[in-house]
Amino acid sequence: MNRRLDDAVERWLAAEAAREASASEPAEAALTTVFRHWPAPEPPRGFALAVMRRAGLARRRVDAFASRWVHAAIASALALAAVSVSLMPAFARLARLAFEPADIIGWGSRTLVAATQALAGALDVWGFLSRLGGALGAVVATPQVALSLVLVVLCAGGALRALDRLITAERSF
Amino acid sequence: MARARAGAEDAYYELVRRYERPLYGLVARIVRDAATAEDLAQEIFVKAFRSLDAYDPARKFSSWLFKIAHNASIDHLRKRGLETQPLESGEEEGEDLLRRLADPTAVSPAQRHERLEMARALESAMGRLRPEYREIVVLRFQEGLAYEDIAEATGLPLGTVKTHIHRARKELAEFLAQLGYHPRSETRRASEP
Repeated sequence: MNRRLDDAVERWLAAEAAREASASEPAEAALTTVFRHWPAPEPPRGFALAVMRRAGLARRRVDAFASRWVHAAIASALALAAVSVSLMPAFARLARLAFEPADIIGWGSRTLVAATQALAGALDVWGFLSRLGGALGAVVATPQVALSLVLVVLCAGGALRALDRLITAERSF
Repeated sequence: MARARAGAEDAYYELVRRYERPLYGLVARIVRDAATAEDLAQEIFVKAFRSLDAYDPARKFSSWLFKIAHNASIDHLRKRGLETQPLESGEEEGEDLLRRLADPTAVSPAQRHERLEMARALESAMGRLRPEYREIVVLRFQEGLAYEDIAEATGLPLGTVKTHIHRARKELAEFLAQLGYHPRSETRRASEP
């Protein structure tokens, strides 16, 4: 039976048919070319992830948007937003009828005063914290306390490293 | 590699991504069944991950991985009683795999058909090789491994590897000849009076 052969197969078969010891190298090179033109089986999509799952390594990724409830909530929110926008002019008209301009200005002023008072309170807390920090800093600046703190940090670091090794070893088996 | 050995998941994931094609390609051509190849290749990667502590960084990672693949594939074939499932059997899965193996760069239907025929013949010839020859052929010609690396992966002496490659090549050519594939020059000689 005579069929057309690919060039690479042709070259390879010709080299094999030569039956000479020197033809071994060309035959190998030609067969390598055959394999280059003959694609290898491909792993299925998601193969690497499946391996990780099988090895107990892949953390399951939770897609927050995959749930039907989330889809329903988003759809409802969009519908509500659309309804709100369509009703906005009517609400604005009602608000204008319900409140006098003086009321609105008075309400704005009261809000501004309340916000300023809240800010002053926050600044008081900040002042207290910075005084406390200063006092602690003065204590920590003494050599004995500083040395103790360094020792504590070293111990904690060592403990964390030991814990990490334990966890890594457990994860590998 | 060092990070993978220390247990870094992302580093091992990268390793799997880097070697999934050669390893799956090797296993698929040895066991000749897509589903079995997928399962076995996954198992090999898991085994490799669990034995990363035993890996000697002075050696090539690919040779070490192929050695695990060699042992797992041979075990699998032994369990299965060395039976092979020929891809050219006409089963749907085998046909689908063959279609994927046929040269995708072929453009015309005739060319595609011709390449599919060629892929079918090569698959058939490969299927008739002994599994250990099949493995060595894939490692040498598909993965381009050196003789020494093949010897390391298969645990065979270097001389045996060379002999196996030589015999496997000859057998492969013979099987193709039995399927009707001959070099043109020979065909011409045969048709001359």
